[in-house]
Amino acid sequence: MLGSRELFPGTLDMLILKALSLGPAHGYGVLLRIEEMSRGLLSLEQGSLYPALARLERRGVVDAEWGRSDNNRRAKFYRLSDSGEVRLTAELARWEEMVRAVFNVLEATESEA
Amino acid sequence: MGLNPFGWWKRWRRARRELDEETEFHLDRLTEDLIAEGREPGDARREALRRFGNPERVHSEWRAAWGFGVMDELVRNVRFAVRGLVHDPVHAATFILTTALTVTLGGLAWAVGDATLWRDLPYPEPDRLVRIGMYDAETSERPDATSVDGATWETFRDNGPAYPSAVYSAWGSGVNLDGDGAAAFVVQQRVGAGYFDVLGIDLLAGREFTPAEDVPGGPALAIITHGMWNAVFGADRDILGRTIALKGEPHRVVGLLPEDFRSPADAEVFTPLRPSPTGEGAGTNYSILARIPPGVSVGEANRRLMSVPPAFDWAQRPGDQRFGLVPYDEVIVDAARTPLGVLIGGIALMLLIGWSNLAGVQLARTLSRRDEFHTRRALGAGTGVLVRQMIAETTTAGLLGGMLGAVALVLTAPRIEALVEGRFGTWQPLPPPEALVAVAAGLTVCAITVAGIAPVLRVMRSGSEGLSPASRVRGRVHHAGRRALLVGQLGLATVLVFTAGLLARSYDYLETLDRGFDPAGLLTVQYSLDDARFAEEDAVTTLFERTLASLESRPEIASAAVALTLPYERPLNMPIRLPGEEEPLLTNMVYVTPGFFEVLGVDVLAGRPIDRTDGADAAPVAVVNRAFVDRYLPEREPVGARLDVPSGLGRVPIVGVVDNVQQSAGWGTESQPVWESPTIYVAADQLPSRFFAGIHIWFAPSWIVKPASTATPLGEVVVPTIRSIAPELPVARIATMTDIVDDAFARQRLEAAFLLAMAGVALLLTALGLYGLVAQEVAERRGELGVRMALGASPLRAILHVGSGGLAVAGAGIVTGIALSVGVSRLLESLVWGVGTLDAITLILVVSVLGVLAGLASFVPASRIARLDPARVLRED
Repeated sequence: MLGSRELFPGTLDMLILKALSLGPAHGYGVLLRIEEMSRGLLSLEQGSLYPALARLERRGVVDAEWGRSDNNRRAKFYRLSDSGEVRLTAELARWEEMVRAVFNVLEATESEA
Repeated sequence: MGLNPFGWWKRWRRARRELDEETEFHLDRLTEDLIAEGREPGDARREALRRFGNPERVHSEWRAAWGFGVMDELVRNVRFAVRGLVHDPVHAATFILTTALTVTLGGLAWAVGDATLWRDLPYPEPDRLVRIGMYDAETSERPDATSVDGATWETFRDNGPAYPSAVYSAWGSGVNLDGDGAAAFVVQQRVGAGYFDVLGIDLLAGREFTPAEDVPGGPALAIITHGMWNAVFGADRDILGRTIALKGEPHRVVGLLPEDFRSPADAEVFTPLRPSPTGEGAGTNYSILARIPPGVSVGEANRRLMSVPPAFDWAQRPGDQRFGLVPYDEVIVDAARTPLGVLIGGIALMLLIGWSNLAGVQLARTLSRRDEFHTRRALGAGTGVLVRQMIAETTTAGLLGGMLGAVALVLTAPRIEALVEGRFGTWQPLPPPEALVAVAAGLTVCAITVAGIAPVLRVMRSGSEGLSPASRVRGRVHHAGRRALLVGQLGLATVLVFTAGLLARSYDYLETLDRGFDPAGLLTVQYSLDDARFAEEDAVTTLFERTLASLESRPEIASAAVALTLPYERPLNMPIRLPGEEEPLLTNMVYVTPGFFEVLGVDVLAGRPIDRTDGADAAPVAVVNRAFVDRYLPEREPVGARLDVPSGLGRVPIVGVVDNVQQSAGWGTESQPVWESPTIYVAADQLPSRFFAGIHIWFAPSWIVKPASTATPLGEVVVPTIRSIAPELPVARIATMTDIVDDAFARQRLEAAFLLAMAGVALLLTALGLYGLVAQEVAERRGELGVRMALGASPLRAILHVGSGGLAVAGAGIVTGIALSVGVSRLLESLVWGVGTLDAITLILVVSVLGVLAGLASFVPASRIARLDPARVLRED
């Protein structure tokens, strides 16, 4: 199980954006989606979600609005903004590049050995 | 984030609440899900909290995400700073009080300087206003004095450039006003036609005097100030055209001045000058004010003036006499410039000393926290973090001091307004509280900057040093910065003490001058006789005769007399001639009633004084003083010699010689405040009435009363007695002779006292600084000294060694200070009498006082070395 502190910096932001690309959600909802999408492998320190969401909201990458949850309680709903979508695509591309590079390095070492 | 801090605060609170709400929501949902999975409710809640994570860290990360990190750090630094102050109240008190003192003093200096010296005159385009005078182009570049006589004014008016100009009397005089019922004494200024037009003042109502009215024998008119209109006439809406009883005759009010108008003479009512080339106009008793038109430069105006031929009499004088101009604001400010400048300079020195003390203290504290900084750096703190903390510490303490200083400043300024008006002739109001607070804020910023620079620099440099575990036993620690500061402080303190000492000695000299008479117990009451009711033949002498007879009949009164001017006052000056000689001699003249010299206790040196035989029917006589004889009759027998006195007395014989009394300077090569000037005394009874009419425009005579026993308060006796004979006369001034003597040097006394006080504070601060330096050195070198003493060195040598280090700093400072004092002494020349500006006694005193103080401040802390226990010190490592 990977804790949130073992993720590369900035990964948490990317995961949140991806979760929101599936549709608006409140903070708890985002958490559930990420855990579900990772098929249970990621267990984040849940509180660190909110600073990250605040950061993203501040940068204008997500928009936030207070609404009613499915059990009729007040909750803050986050939504990917237009610039957020652009950002998500860019981040995904970068991530793939980095992973491929690391993978190449690791594979090369094995074959040379 | 917007710039509105209150809106920011509200948004911050709302964001806080929302985070709490989100967190609660999250925890509730998580708990529900955990219960759904089968846990117990209490267990589920705890698990939810555990999974959520450390709320403190969540909160602080959230705050950082919102950009509150900077605010957080600031609040933290300020809290730390306040705690630091509370834990060390001595340091806190010293820092805050020193800052407050410098802010208050600096603010006061600025306020007084602004009102007296720097502020623009309260007239439109004041730099275009000039005073016209005469000067000798062969010896000077411009007029020294801008007083002119009537003929010069007429020449300028008729032949000069067509600039708006007006002639006026620059001095106010007190005159009698009959309000409804009661008689009042008010300040009058006599101005010529066009005066207010030149100043650029629009009257609130009415008009000013016309040239046709402003002639000898012209109508009695008055222009009154807004203040007088309110206070005396109750803002009467029909004031124009109304007549007021001024100087004993009805004056028609033709104009009312606006509320904000102020005259340097502080006059309340203005009457026509009626300039003439004769009478008072024969002397340089007038001033000419002119306004240079737009488009003309001062230089052009000057050149234009130089081509105007001087008046006939003036052209007869030696040299190349020409018309010249002096900017009006310079004329106004001139008298106060040096005396006030010295006080402001002294305050500036105090500020520098105070601020460098703050810097030294902060530097010392930083040095003692060296280990703390190293440790924090090792733990990862960047330079920025430490620097921000240092700045917060200095700023917190500095702001507290600054606020205290600002409050003190705003409270003190109004209280000194009357004082500076009396001593330095300040006629504009001091700046309002808003301006004072702004100046206090500026000074606080300066104080914080000076105090904070050293620690900040130290912290920035400490990044390049490492932790030194062997730091306890150190070699000589170089407190170069602190030493330099102290040398500077001592230098400035020396200059302050030197200046204060010089001024104190000068004041002492003036105070102990031989008075020539005995003021003890004498009461003086002054009345203005510039009054139509006393212009008739014999009215003045009858008044004197009746009041003196009445006074002397009272049992409380031993004797009384009247004199035109008193000792220590400025007398009338009069050119007289010795028969057969062409050159006029300038001398003072005082008219007196019989018994004058006895009342004052002035010694008669030869012949006789003025007495009752010198009546209106007898031949006129004169009495001169010793100074007159020494200066003008050195070879001759004075008694019997004759003088030509142009006062209608004709040629009078001298019948006696009296001792000198001190009189205020009006002329002469000495600029000393008082001196023993040549004087002739004449009998009031023997002067023609028309002489009184002219002279009483400028001088108001005083009654001098000697009590039968020194215990009786005379005020309640004298004034009613005189009032019963002349009820129409209001008292102009009532004062004891001792007060008049004291008042002559009031300004010098104030200066000496003030500078002495500041010198005292400066010495205290400097001594504390030196003490701190030596004490810290002793503390830091404990280890080394302990080792030395364990090895057998004597404590006395160690004490001498450390103490003399302090003395060396002090010595350098004193030497610097003496050098600076020599330079400064030049500026003090016009303020110091009776002692040379490089007075040896003062210098020796200064060096002694500072030397003793420095010795104490060095050796008292050094003596702590004797109490060191070597064994214990060694074990401390």
